Amino acid sequence: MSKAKFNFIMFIMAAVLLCAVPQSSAQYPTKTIQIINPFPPGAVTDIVARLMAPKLSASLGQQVVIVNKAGGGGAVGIQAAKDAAPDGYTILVTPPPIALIPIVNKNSGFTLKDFTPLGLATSSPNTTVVKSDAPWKSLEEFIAEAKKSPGQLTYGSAGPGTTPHFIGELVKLKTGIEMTHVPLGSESAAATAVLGGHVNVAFLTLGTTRSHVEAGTLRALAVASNRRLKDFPNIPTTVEKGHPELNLKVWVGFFAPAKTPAAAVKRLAAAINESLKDAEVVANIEKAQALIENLGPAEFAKFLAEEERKWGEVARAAKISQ
Amino acid sequence: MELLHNFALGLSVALTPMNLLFCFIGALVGTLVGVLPGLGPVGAVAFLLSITFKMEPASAIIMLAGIYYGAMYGGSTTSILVNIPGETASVVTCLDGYKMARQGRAGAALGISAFGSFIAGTVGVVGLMFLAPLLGRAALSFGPAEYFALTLTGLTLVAYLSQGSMTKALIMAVLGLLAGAVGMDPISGEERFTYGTLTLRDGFGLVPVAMGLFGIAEVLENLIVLGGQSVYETKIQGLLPNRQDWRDSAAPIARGSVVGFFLGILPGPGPVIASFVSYAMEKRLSRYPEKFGTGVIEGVAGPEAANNAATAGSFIPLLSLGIPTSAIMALFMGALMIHGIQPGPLFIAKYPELFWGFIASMYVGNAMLLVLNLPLIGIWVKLLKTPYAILFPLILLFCLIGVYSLNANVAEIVIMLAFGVIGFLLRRVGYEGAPFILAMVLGPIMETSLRQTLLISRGSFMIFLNRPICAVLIGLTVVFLLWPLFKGARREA
Repeated sequence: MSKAKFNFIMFIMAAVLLCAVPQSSAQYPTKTIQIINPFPPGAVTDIVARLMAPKLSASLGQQVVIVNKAGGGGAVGIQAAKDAAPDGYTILVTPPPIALIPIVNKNSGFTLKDFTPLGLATSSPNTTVVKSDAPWKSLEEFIAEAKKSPGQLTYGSAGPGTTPHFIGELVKLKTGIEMTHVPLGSESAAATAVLGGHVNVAFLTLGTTRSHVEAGTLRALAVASNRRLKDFPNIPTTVEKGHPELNLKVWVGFFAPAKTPAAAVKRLAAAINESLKDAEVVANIEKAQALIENLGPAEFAKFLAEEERKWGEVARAAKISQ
Repeated sequence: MELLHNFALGLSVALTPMNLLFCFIGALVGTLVGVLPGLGPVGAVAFLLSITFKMEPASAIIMLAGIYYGAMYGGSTTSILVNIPGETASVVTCLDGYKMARQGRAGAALGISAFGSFIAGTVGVVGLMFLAPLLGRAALSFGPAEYFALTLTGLTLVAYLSQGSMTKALIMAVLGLLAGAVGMDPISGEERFTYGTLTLRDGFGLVPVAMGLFGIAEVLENLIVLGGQSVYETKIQGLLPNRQDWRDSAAPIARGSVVGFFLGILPGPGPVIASFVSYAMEKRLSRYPEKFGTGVIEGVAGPEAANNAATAGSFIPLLSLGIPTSAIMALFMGALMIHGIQPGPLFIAKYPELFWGFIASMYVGNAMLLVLNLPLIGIWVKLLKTPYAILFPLILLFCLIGVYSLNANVAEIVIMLAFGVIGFLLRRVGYEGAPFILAMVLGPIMETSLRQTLLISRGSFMIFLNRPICAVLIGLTVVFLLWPLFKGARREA
């Protein structure tokens, strides 16, 4: 059965349920809520949203369905969410591209201002990885080598304007080293290129590198975090290496279109907060290699402003934008 | 005898009643989405993914994998019967499969494609079982330079895909390369020929274009040119391949299995590329290459074996390295991650019951598919008696639903219809779609890998000759290209 058909059946089911249960009042929400995921099924946004969906449904008293609208590195789905009616029945789950795409492409058709943040759900810390037989045992050694031969070392990214690209440029900016950027199309392609020795380093989420760090096929020189990770106490953090500005993570957050009524925003934010406190949801998300953040709308907005400032600066310095 | 022990463990997982059931469901759904043009395994797996959250991880992956390889069985059905590929990996099967059906040999074509798929599927699983970790590591030595060389070799195959004029085939290949250039520049991120639309930022999707060029164009042709008349007046001879068919197909199936398995390991649409390579190889090796395209069984047996073996091969990077090399492998990864299982170098050691259960289920699944598909042949062939007035609107409907189900994007339906009209017009003047599809698949990989290589080498082309695998592939390409000239010169002398 196709997704369209599935949605249609869900719609009918919701409609039947609505008719069966007499509505005491027309309080929000009164019908199915769509969560647009701008990435394909199986992506981290999809996993997080699907793990949260049953609890969200329970808490909102309405069916919550996830609609995958992939394309354009997330732009297609984010645009669709922006264009949706701001009635609280269409919301968006997305990683950093919602902030990065408008910085890279001035004509992207949306900015963060087109959305109301509902909550920051999860994050995955960034790891600096090299091949296990690479000569550099620490971040310092790598930086020293890069300084000795500027531009000779290569770093792999998931493509132009993606998080690993931005992070690579930020590293260059903050440490003063020169590296050549090689866009490889996806995080896993970048990991593959490091494993095969085709590029020297990559800055990838722990979700991507974890199994290789565990197996010893990749060496993590640093992890972007305030504290050492419970599962990897041997990996030094960027903070203790004296680079607090490199404390980066790839997050997953929920948004509503900008003009969504305040009451609906409040209700949705409360449901997201509640489901991220549920023990089963927390355990499942952690099993899927993401860390719970659970920041409310106000804190999330502050966090986003900081992200926008930081990446805007990198884009200007590295001339990433078009 | 650790292997036997492991395999016994695998069987103990795969043969539980529940997992047998899920394996069967997967195979059945796979056959269905394979048969229905437009609906593909990616859509079906994506849809069933959320159901698997509540299942045991082994059951989940057994069922989802069944859909994937099951689709390769079903994909050839409509290629053979109505010249419309059920899957993009069955595009090349149209060339000879449909001609066979027109000669009343639909049963033989369907039969050999079911047996070929079964044999290749089994060979693929054997390869997966014995070679997964080894090949996973070997695949890592393929960097951007090697991919560039490989796609260069791949492009020379266009020469074997022309059914009429070679010039026309080359023109279509160039157009395919141009179509492949649409979308975001993979290196700089600039937009090319997107006209400001979001949909075109990712370029033309393979499924909408293939379904347009082959599916919609065929419907239009039947409607406009043949006036909706049934073209099946030939008597149908036999429902199974005869002895001669088997003799002709044995070697192509064997070669297709091996080539498909190895090509499946590489990133990109492995089964699609594998089917093209197998077809070109059979034509190259044949004693009567001029007959290809007129309904020779080798042109069905080879590619259908290759795309099935490729599905087995494509699991290798995921299961041995945790690297998903295509959209569908990313779905499998998601299916495992959601259960807290991280595929990676330690996967086989950490989850032996999962890995071996999965392997064993693929043997079982392939056998189920053969049993499922052989009796269906009779039904499919009878289906040809269905009036086109009923059959074609249905095909059109499935194409529309299938393409929409990919990304819930109406613009992709428009792309499919546009390519349908273009494909129909081009066909009227003798331009074929197959070289276009091959070039459109290979072009972007070729461009990206060339530019990545030159970034890594800081602009030096010597990197292509300094790397052994790469140099060999480029040498082969030169030989392929110059061989006909050399042969021609000798004949004249």
